[in-house]
Amino acid sequence: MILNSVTVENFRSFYGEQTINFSTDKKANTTIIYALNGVGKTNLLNAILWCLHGEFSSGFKNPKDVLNWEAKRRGRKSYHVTLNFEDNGAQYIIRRTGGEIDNFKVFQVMWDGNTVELTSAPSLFVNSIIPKDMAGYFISDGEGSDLVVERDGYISVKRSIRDILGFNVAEKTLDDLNKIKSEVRQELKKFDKDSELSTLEDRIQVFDESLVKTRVSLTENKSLLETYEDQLASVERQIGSSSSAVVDQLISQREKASKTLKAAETKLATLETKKVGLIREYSWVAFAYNLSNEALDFIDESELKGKIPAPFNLQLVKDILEREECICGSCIQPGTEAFDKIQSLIGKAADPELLNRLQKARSRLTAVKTLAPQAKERIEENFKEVREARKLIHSTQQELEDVSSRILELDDEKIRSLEKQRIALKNKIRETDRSITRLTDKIDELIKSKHQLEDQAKKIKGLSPRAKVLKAKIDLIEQVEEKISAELIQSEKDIHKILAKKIDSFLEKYLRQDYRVSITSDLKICLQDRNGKPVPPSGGQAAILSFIYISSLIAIARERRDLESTILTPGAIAPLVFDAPFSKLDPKYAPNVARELPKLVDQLIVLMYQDDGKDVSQTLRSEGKLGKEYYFCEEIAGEQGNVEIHTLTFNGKEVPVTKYNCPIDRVVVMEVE
Amino acid sequence: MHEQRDENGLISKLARDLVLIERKSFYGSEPERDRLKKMRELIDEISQEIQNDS
Repeated sequence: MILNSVTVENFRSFYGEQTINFSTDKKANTTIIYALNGVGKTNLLNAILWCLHGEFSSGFKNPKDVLNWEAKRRGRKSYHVTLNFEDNGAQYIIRRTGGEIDNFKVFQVMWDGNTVELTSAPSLFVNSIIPKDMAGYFISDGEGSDLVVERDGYISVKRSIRDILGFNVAEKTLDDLNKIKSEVRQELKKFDKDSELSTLEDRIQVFDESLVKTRVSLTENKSLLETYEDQLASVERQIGSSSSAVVDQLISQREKASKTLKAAETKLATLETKKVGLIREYSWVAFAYNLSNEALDFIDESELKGKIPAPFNLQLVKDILEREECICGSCIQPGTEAFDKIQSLIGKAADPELLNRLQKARSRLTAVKTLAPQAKERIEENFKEVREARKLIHSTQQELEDVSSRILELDDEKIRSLEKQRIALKNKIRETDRSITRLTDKIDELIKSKHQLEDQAKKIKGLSPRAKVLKAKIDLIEQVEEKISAELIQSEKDIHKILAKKIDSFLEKYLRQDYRVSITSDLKICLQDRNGKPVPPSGGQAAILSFIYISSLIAIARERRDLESTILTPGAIAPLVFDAPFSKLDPKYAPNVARELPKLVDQLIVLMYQDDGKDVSQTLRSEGKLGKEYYFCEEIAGEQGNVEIHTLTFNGKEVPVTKYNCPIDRVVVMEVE
Repeated sequence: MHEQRDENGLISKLARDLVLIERKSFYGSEPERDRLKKMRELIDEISQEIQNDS
């Protein structure tokens, strides 16, 4: 999208029609509009925003009082804004009217100059070019008013990232699906005579709600943990940068002990896992030891007493009797003494299958006997190693406490205070870690319980066909919810890396090596100095952080313009309209920003007061990026009196930007010659 | 959690279509009140389709 012009009519400070033709040159793509504070910069920015989406920025005061005062006095009832722009090679005109008449029209300008109104879904058309949830980042007041500064200097950028990724529509779909699901559940209750299913569904819903809350709490705790760890690292860096030799020695001792502690804790964890394995491997041996001894004794004794079959084969005896012939070749006739004796052996002869089983039992029982000493030895060794690791952990913890106490006794107030902060942060980290473990366990437990209830619900018989249809519908809605949620979660995960890369790149361009930006997994950003110390987001640093962040967002939106995702809204390529972007910016960084911003977008429109030595316009000019310049002249009907005439200087020539004794109060747009 | 029945991309398609209905309403081209009605109808239709298949 390239803006050709904007025409405002009776809109706030602009009486009558005023038009600005923006620079559409591909190289000199920047238009600067100079104006004193309070004369109309924010009004113009809001005129563009309102024309596109019928909304104003959060900083726009009295949004219901838009009609120009002079126009109102002369009986006018409406105000208008017209945008003329180009997108994908076609020309369009958007005209919005407010006040007594509300009107919104979009026209396409044909090759012959005639216009054709887009009557079918004009809002959707405008949103396909620059979605309303992203527009506020392109048409911005430049000081990051949408960024919420949290405690400890962190700024949550989650909302804006979600806006740029186009999460809003998908999230609203999830809200609607939840509404529909509740309706279906209500209807289902009518068919569930014994209330068995609805009771289960109610309980499932309770688990669902609890899961959502616990997950939110887990995310918050994880983010808190990262913040504490960041702060701890910063405090430790500050203690480490002390010039005292004693502190140096203590810190070095602490670092060594910390490494030992970490290694011992890792070893203990491995040994504990091994212990569980050993118990699993040998517990049966321990339990079976006495039993197996008794069993072996029993087998031996029984064999001795002949209670167990003799070791000759039953089949052999049967064969001899059947053939009536001994293995020595003698004839054995039935009824003879020899035949009777051999026949009596059948009672004692061993069944081969029984013998086989007996052998197996003996071998198993012997294995228990052999494994028992081995098990004892290995388990005892593991227990010994666990004891040693615990002892090492305990002594190292003592050593660390000792180091900390010695630091707290040092005659250095700053170091003592930092050490106290360090101890407090360590405690917070420990507490938060515990909370994370608790919450993770709770989530697992909730999921398990919910699945059990869902299984029970599935098994309920005797539902009417209509109830079954409703149940299937709930199931379907939940699958869709999971599908959409999964894509949102994945997109948020993916964006972390992309954002970090973009921020690094703009950091390098705008600030060189002076600062770094840390990003938490919960998408909170913080500007840090070279020592990793968070820089409070006020004044110039906040402005530069805002620039870096907005630039990163714009770059991400640009790359996502042709996104093929079906759930998320595609990004946008639109002009960047910045209101007073350089006002709070440190003069040291302003030229860098002025050099890089026009490269970021196809068109840049900057609304600013004269740049007070920040060399913004000079830099843009020398880079060949400055296409057009305008200024607002305030015409005042009253007498000048003792008030000074304000002027702006262009090309060494002073130009008045306030005029007195004019016919009416109004702001006039003037192009710089 | 649920039986996996998205082999033919039915769930993905339904998710996409529901988001599309929401988008049209969110960006102002369709009246807000029609949104839930259209969503309900689409869910009914697909649910019916799945049950007929099984």
